[in-house]
Amino acid sequence: MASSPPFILEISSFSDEKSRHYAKVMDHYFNNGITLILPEDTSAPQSVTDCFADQLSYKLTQLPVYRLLEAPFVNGFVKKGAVHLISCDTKLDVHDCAAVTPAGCLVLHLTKDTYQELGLEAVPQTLAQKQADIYQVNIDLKADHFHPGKRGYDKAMRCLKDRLGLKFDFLISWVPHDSEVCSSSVGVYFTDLCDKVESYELTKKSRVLTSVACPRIVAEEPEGIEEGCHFQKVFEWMGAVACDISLVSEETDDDNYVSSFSCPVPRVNCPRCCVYQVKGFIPPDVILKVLKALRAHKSAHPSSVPASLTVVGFSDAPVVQKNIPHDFYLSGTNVYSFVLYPDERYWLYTASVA
Amino acid sequence: MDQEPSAKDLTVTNAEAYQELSQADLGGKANQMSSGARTTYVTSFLGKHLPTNRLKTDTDLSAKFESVDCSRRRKKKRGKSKAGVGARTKVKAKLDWKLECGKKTSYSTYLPLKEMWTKYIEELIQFSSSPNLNLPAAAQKMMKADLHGCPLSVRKSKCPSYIGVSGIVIQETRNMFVLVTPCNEIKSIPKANSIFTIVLHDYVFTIHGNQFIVKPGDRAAKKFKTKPSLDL
Amino acid sequence: MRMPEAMSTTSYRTISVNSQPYLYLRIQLTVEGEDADKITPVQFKFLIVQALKENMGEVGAATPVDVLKLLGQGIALLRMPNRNAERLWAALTLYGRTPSDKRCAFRVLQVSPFLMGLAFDSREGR
Repeated sequence: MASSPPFILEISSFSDEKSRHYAKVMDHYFNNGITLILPEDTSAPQSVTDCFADQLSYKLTQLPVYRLLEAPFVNGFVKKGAVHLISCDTKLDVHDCAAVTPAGCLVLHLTKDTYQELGLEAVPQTLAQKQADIYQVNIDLKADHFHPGKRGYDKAMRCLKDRLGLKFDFLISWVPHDSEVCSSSVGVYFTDLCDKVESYELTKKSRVLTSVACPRIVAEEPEGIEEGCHFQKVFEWMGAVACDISLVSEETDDDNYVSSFSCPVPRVNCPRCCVYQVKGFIPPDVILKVLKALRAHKSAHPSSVPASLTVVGFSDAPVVQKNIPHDFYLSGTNVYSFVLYPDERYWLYTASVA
Repeated sequence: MDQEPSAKDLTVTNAEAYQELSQADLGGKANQMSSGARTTYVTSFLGKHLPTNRLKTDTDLSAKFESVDCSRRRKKKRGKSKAGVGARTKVKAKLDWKLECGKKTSYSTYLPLKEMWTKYIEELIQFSSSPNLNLPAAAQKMMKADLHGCPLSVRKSKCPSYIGVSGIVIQETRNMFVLVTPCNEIKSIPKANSIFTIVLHDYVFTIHGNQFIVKPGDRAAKKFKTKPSLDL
Repeated sequence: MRMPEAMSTTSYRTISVNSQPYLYLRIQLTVEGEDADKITPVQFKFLIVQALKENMGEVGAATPVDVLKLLGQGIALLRMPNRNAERLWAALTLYGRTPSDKRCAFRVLQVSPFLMGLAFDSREGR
């Protein structure tokens, strides 16, 4: 299969002023799940679990898209905070999708039939979009000229309201600039505008693995020349832990008919390991908080095996980072993963459209 | 001989006169002198300022050439000019027409045309005769009908800016519909890659532009085939 | 294929990899009139090999496939070398009848070149 997304490993340090971890987290807008792997811990630290407490996200059922252009929403939410909004239950490769990025851009990811009836100009297609007959319309909600009475606004409104009446189920979460304002007000705003507003809860799972085989990781040697394991194998191991694949050392079962998967060598035995998983709609700000808490925790409790934080994005998000369109060919995988070492150093895996 | 000297005199005077005449004819001695001075000035000027390889005397024929075989070029030119003239006159005629209608374009001017067309199509399709319209027959008649004056709107198009344009057809050509919109604008919309709709009372007629690319005059005689693919 | 891009300082460097060795699949097996929960990993693997043998012949059946985990409802995580992925995917979709002559189907739910990508399924209804 030809087109797998590029896989990048960055080795850097949080204390480095050129470190890109902040940009990486903030630019990855739509996050579906977090996996924390904490070796030598029995539960996720309180400081980490607290991060998820006060952020609320909502599911809006059958919200017409033109509601997102209306002045109260734009002035009240888009300009006064970071709106993360994404259509859910829509498949990127076959359905229309929509999203509003924190930068205030409404992205409509349309199939050919919808585009030819809608009447809004699309941005130039990427090669993958051309092959799949997909058109992407970007509307900048924050632009100065985008307000009622202007031609562009009126046209967009007319197209979305009268012509097609596009409706989606949306997930929304809002991070206000002003910390005094509660993020729940966005849910209240939409109660009258769509069929149903319900709180979209996070599901948290925590499990403790005992006597788990861990690959030996050496921060300086990602290629695994002598001591450590190869970084690709480490990433696979992290995936196996996240998917709860049994990692019993293979000496006990020599029958590898079912699976030949095993923990990469050289390995260390970790007496216990906590895996903490959160699924839901998580804005980047929360992930930044988690990362901060985890760094603090890590420097307080150094261990031989580094901890890791993996963020999995929505496979059907029309944009992944900034305004880079998300090309769904084989899979919509967009994952990034931090491996944190006690001395502020980190590995950052990126597995998505660049 | 009496006559001889006189004749001689005469010849002398003639010669003198001729000399004078020729001098006068040539524009006077002063003039001749000045022209000579001019040529020397020019040559000296050129000698000073031109590069040496450009300084060639008249006797040097190597600098003089003339194309003998220019038949191809001439042929091409002739062909081009012929076509050009034809197209230009055509364009000019069209432009004149456009300008003329551009001057006094207003939607209201064409409203009577629209009413006329509605009457015409009602007669043609026989709306009043039966409550249940025979749709295939009506569609057949619609295909052959004259569309000048019909209210038309673009429902789908490959080009997003055409979508939603509606107005009265004031001209139909092989490839275009020219509409006048309620905002008193003239819009030319290609038939290709668009789908048009006509709303008549309770019925909506859809025209697939790609299959409608026929001269309006020939359309009445044309046999339309049913085509399965309706993709733009 | 590896391309070290920047090695200017020891603190910051980037390694980029363009091709992945494996492809991971989340698939669901449904067998007519049978509870999918009762299938053991060995049976599951046997059915996959059967599918390969039926559609791709003996050589195709030699394709290495790993059943990494069997979740509930007949959903399993598979690992296969990237170059064999098309062959296996085709064999799975074409397979329709178990050896005991029951109708069955493999459905590919999610595909990713990274095992981490299968940790969450954003398409799964909640």
